[in-house]
Amino acid sequence: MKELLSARESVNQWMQRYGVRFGVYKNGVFNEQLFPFDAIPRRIPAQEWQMLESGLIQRVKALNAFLYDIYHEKNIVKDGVVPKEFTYESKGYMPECEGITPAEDVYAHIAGIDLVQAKDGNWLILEDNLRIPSGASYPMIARMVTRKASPQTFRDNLIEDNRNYGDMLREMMDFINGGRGINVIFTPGRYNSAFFEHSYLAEKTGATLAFPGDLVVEGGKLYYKGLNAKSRVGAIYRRVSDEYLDPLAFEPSSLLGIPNLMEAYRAGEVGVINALGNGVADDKGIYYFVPKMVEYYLNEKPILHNAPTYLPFFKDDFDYILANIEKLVIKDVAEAGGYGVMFGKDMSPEKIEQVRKLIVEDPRRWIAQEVVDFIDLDIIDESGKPSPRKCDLRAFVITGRETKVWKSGLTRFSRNPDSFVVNSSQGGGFKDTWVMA
Amino acid sequence: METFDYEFITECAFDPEVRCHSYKLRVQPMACGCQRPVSGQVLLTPVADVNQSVDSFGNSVIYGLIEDEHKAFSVLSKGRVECGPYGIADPSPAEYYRYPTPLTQCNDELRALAAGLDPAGTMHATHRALRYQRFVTTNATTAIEALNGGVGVCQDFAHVMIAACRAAGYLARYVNGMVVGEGETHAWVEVYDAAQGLWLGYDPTFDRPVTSGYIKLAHGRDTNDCPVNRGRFFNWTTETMTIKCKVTNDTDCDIS
Repeated sequence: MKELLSARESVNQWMQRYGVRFGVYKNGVFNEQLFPFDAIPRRIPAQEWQMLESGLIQRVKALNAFLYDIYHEKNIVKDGVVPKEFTYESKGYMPECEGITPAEDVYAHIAGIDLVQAKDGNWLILEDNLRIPSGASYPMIARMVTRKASPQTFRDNLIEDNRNYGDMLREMMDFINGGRGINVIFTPGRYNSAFFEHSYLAEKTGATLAFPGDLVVEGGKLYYKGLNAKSRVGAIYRRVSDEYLDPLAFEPSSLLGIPNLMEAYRAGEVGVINALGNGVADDKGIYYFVPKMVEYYLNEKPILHNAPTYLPFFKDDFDYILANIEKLVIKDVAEAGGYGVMFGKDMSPEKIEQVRKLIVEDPRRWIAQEVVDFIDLDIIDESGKPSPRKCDLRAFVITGRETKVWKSGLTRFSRNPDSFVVNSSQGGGFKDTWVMA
Repeated sequence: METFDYEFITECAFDPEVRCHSYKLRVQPMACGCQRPVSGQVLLTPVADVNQSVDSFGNSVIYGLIEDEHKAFSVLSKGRVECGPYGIADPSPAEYYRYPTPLTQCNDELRALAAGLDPAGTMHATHRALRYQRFVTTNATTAIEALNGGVGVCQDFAHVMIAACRAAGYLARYVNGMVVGEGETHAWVEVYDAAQGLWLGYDPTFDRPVTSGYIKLAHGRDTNDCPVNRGRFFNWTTETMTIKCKVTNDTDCDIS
């Protein structure tokens, strides 16, 4: 461990060399910044991991069942478990996907589930990311580099190997592909914030990295246009969001999209990873209902719990929120990436009044949560000393033939010691996550 | 039952030529409750990769790819339909017709337009609030913008009425189609009548309920769900597009 810490200079040089970067758009300008790596890993004991693993598998199975249900029979709405306001009115719900059955019935092939560990040791779910969760490449690279910089550390500690993420992805892609053609990873291109990851994952999975213009739908099938010939594509892991994916089905001004991909998908000629329309299952409003989905679809008690959450949509919660804004976090359900998050404790009386008014005007748009006092992990700060930071964990859950959790994850820390917002778009850095064997 | 012959022609000209042209068309009359296609054909020039599907709203879709360079693309859809009195039975209408879309967002003015009115009343109010004028609005104009401007074409009339009806709690949807005596495609509105379990038609542009002589091609939450012709191609080009259609009431062939 000491050896690893003393090697952190060389680790960061390796990171530079690999170009581990994170692009951020601010005021219309694209900036690429290094995603700072901290050498002290998060360690998760084996027993704790087993509990996390079964809880995550359970949650993702329920989310997949929900997505299938919402785009088919809608029993959970008919049975009154989820109000229709939180499904059909959700921005993530896409009527264009009604009745489409994706290959092997899988919607959320790659789920990025964000958790925090409270000071009492309990793990709580912060949010589910079922659209295009990013970030797996950072711990992959970090592990590779730290193994190089300090091989002894990995002989002295019993750590689960995390170098199998590419294999896990490939196995899932092959299953979804069903032998119809090649696998591709579809990137919007060089100026996407996660381009580094797209190219890295293509290398690790053996999939072809496809750019806008490389893919075409003909005869209801998807093809990759190579130099000489067209190759049939059986599965596309797309890193382009739903609304830009097919300009003839959605946003017509999208220059990135693949015209008529939606038709090839509808006809079952190509597996799209992740499926379209997943936003209905991962916005901040539907989050409240995920534990209920576990009970409804699996007939099991949820193993992992949500952070205590209130929906102003319900009368009791509404009253509680208005009386307690000062101590709550208020979140806009339509926002992501750490935007639209307001801490009551930081608000002026005028601001509180303003937020109260917003909630009264449109209760469906907001959720409120208790501020979870989650644990700090030490990082080595600029002065070279240990300094505590708030950390979360993004676990990656892959669903193909089975649902599996990658024995690693992305541990992110806040930029400032007093900040609770842990998101790569908002500054901050990351750590390796060691699952102990 | 009435029988109608229809002919729909759209012609696109490109200068200079384009290639790798993907298209998606909704140009065939729907088979739905009051409307039954008897015969029909769709002809594309140049002859292209042609595929059929049905989208999630229930519309017939023709799509494909023309790889080679071409200067023109034309579509002819013609045939015969039988129509009964307008009204489409639907025991379990889709809930998504209740909620606003980006083009049919609501505001206080739109809410006021439908306040206390039934769909027919909202249609009259829409017709009074807008003046028909071309080339002022575009196909991206929202209901709020159209009502503010006070002018528009059939698409804007339909969006305003849809936004107002949804604000009043109705399920409402956008319809593309053809009308007897009109040389272009037209847009109108269907509102769900829960008591009868029927979608009823309203034409806010002409301020009349839809009865006979309306041939329905496609429907959706707004125009973006059901455009008759959408395409994507490569090259910097100027595109000119014309749409013509003709519907005739062929009473000689009426055997009912």
